[in-house]
Amino acid sequence: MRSFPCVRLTIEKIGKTYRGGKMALRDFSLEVGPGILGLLGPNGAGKSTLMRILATITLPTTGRAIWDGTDIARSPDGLRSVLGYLPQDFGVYANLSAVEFLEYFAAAKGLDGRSARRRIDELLDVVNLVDARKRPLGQYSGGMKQRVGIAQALLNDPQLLIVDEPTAGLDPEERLRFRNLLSELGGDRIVILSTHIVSDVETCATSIALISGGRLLVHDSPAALLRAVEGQVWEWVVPGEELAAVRRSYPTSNTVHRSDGVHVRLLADRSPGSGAVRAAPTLEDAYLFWVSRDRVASA
Amino acid sequence: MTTWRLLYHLARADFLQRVRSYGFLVTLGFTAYFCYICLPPHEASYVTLQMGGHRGIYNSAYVGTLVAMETTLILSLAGFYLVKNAIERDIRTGVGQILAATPLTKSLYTLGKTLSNFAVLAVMSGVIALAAGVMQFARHEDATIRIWPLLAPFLFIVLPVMAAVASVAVLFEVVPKLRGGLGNVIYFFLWIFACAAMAGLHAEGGGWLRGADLMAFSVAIPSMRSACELAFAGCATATDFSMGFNFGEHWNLSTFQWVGVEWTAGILAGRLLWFGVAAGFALLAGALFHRFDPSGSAAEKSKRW
Repeated sequence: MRSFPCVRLTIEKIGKTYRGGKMALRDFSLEVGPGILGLLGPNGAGKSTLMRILATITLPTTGRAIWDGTDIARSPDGLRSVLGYLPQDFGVYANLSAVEFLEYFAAAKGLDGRSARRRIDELLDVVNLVDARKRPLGQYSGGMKQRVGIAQALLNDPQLLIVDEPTAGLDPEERLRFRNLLSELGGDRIVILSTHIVSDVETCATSIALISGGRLLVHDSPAALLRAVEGQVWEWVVPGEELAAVRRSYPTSNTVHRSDGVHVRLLADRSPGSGAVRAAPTLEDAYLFWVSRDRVASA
Repeated sequence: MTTWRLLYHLARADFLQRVRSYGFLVTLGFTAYFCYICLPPHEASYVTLQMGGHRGIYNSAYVGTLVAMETTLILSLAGFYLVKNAIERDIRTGVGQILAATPLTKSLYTLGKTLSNFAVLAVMSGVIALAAGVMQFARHEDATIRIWPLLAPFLFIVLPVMAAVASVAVLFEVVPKLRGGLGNVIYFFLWIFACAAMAGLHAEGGGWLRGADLMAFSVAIPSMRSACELAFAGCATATDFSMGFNFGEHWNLSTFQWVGVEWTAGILAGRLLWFGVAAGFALLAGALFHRFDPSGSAAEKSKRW
């Protein structure tokens, strides 16, 4: 893969209000450099709207996104020629083979015939679909279709790769393979991985932006996000009948029912009760910390 | 070169997606059957074209022209509903959002979709043309198959109209109010209006206006009437004329020899005009296209196109 000059994407106070008044994004600002940005947030947080704005599909109502010094809403073609995009609801032409389908997108991305054929061969190898290359896409599994999706996104060797909820519908093995593939793609390009599944970004993201209610909660490295909840994560064994009360009192990231009671993993400034022990924070705890803090603030 | 390659791939992918299905095979079966019923035998209880109780001998020119006119009439209506789903498919599958994130322009996209629609309708027309040759042989009134008189009406009568239908289908898909059932109803009435308006043209001579008659009645019927008049005096002015499926008692039509349309430059110009109209509609569709933005109005999008 080629190396790119230092690429940079700047998002300045972007807001998006849909017809009917629904505000999907508000005052969203972010500076993104090379590496993998994990955009993490609950369903309906505004992730897909942001992805569509960055992919030049929809226009922001306010604010702007700058790529290579240019506002992408005013002049989208510069970005489009170096953009790879895999939308959340990715479908295929079921009666086409992977090769035919990729030839279609290669043409749309402006690749000439020879380059397209060479690139398609390379990518089918990368996504492990060489043996199925001539089979109709309608016969592919969900994971195989998703791999075709990532192959089309990489056809033009993009400087900015946007993948929106790419692991939805994949089985655990395919999810793992996909994460590994994304890790390899990082390097000197910008990869924006939008997801509501923490484990998707845990292993590969170089920075993480948490989004909720259309607003950016925090943007930092995974290590910094973990540091923020250091000392606030507790594991506590409680009787089953107290679980509901514990859940009402503390943000709870995990519960496991065992013979000695319910093992609860929760967030608290100080010990929630006798027998509670401090635990090493995970990204899931950090995610819960920020999202629950935002909910409290919004309430 | 890149533009042509892009258009080719846009049309090809969409075309292959549609034709590689059992549904399309069934459609082709129906089109072949349509050709069969367009050429009723003497003893049939219906006719498809008669003038004063006469019709042409089923030679290549007559078979080709008659079937081409009937095909134009039917496919200009049914074909629209058959192909009016090219953009909807890209919305439904999400393929459209990926295309929207590429440098592909809106006008090239709608041109590509128009080409794909046209290719589907052209294949159907081609199957009917082949079936027409087979039917001429089967009816055996004139068993000599002459390729050009048989196929020229399909090239010059059917295909230009199919191009127009293909582009109107795309245009209807990009206008939100015309995309659904209302658009289907409006097209039906537009079709009736177009048929009636063109039938009333009665354009004569070899000029482009005669060739521009959408259903090509003005292209072929006057010449058929002249040939009929040579064989049966009074035929040219007979008011007893019908085209389309006319059921009734046993018709027992007498036949005359007709050698076909003389494809003058004027007539061809009039027919080719419909390709220009198709290109115009496709480009207009491009200007109105929302480029898969689920939220943007045309006015908002036009700021950056």
